[in-house]
Amino acid sequence: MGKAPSATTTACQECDLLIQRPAPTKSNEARCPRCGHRDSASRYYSAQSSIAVSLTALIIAIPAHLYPQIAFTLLGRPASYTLFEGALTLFNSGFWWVGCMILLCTVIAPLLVLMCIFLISLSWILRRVNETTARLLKLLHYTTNWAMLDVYLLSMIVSLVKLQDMGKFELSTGFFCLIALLVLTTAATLLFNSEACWDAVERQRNARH
Amino acid sequence: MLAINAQLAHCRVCGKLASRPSEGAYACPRCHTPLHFRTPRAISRSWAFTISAAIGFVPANLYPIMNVQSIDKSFTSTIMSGVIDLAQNDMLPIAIVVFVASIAVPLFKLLGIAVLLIIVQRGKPIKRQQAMRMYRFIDFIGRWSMLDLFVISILASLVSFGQLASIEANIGATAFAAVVILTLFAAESFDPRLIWDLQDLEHERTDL
Ligand SMILES: [Zn+2]
Ligand SMILES: [Zn+2]
Repeated sequence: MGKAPSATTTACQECDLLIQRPAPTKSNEARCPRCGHRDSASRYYSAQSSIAVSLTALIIAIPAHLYPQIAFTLLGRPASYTLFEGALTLFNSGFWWVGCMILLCTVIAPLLVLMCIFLISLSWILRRVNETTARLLKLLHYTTNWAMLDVYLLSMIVSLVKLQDMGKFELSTGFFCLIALLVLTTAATLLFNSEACWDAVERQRNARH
Repeated sequence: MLAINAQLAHCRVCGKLASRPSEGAYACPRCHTPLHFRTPRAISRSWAFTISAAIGFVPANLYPIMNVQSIDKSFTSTIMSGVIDLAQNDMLPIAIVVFVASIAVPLFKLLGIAVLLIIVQRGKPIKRQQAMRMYRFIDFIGRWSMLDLFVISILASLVSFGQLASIEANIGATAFAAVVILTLFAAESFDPRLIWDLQDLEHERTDL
């Protein structure tokens, strides 16, 4: 086994080059000199703003998912659409596998990401970083890639274009909440820094021994 | 200097840089997931996902993804016929969006990963920066193939007026969902560090 690296040494995630990680700044992420990979761990972590943004997003998520996102009228007959109904329709017609994927990417993963960011930042602020924090950090790592609200928003636009000569549609409350949710989720992920939190977990472990 | 040459491994889950023995299993001291210098069997796993996705791509495109029934007409729609339909109805920009997301992206992604895998397996010097750009692009575009599945779920739940008009999902959607998942896994299991382990053609700073 080699020597344990110093605390500021890291390796590029994409090309394995050993790098000295600079102190976090608010302005820019450090880049790997060999492959140009942006090291998101070098970002400045503000727990307060992470909490504020993720909590706002979690609150906005309630109307975004419960209120109809589109109202549609065909020959005087109304119909409305919420995310759950969409997935439920697929379940009912036997496409449970597609329905599961849609629920995962548009509801479960984005909510898990927000909840993880919120809870981890909260434990940071309260100085209660512990093994649960570590578990949440892992969960966050595995769910981030599956949150696809941006793709979902584009698909709403495509659907509306497809529907335009069939009947009348109107964008309703849920749609605008969804846009807010997307913006806030993106902001929360950018404000968060998992490396800083993993460091805190390690410090906590060392303090206990 | 590379981490692997210093007997150090970078954890892909938590980002910890830790020293590990050169052989045998070893767990990351920080997040307790298995820690490796390079993802083990990355190439064969990535091949497995790529080939399965390529096979699934055939039924995903041949079978209809939607049944559309309205007052004057009733038809099944495949991914391609949906695109053509949009283009013929003067909605070319949207037709292009759907074509890119549902057909171009998965195809490009499968070919791209296959090319990267072949490059890494050949082990000959390459333009690493260029290969890396391709890897990052593939990694970035993959998620957008979900577009058509979301569209199906929106249309199917909005347009359900019984006899009057209805849209239902069809078997092609299942195959397409599988293709999207498999291509996501294929890109995920590839280890980009393998690209940088190759010699560079332009041999700039190979000693780093
Ligand atoms: Zn690098
Ligand atoms: Zn780890």
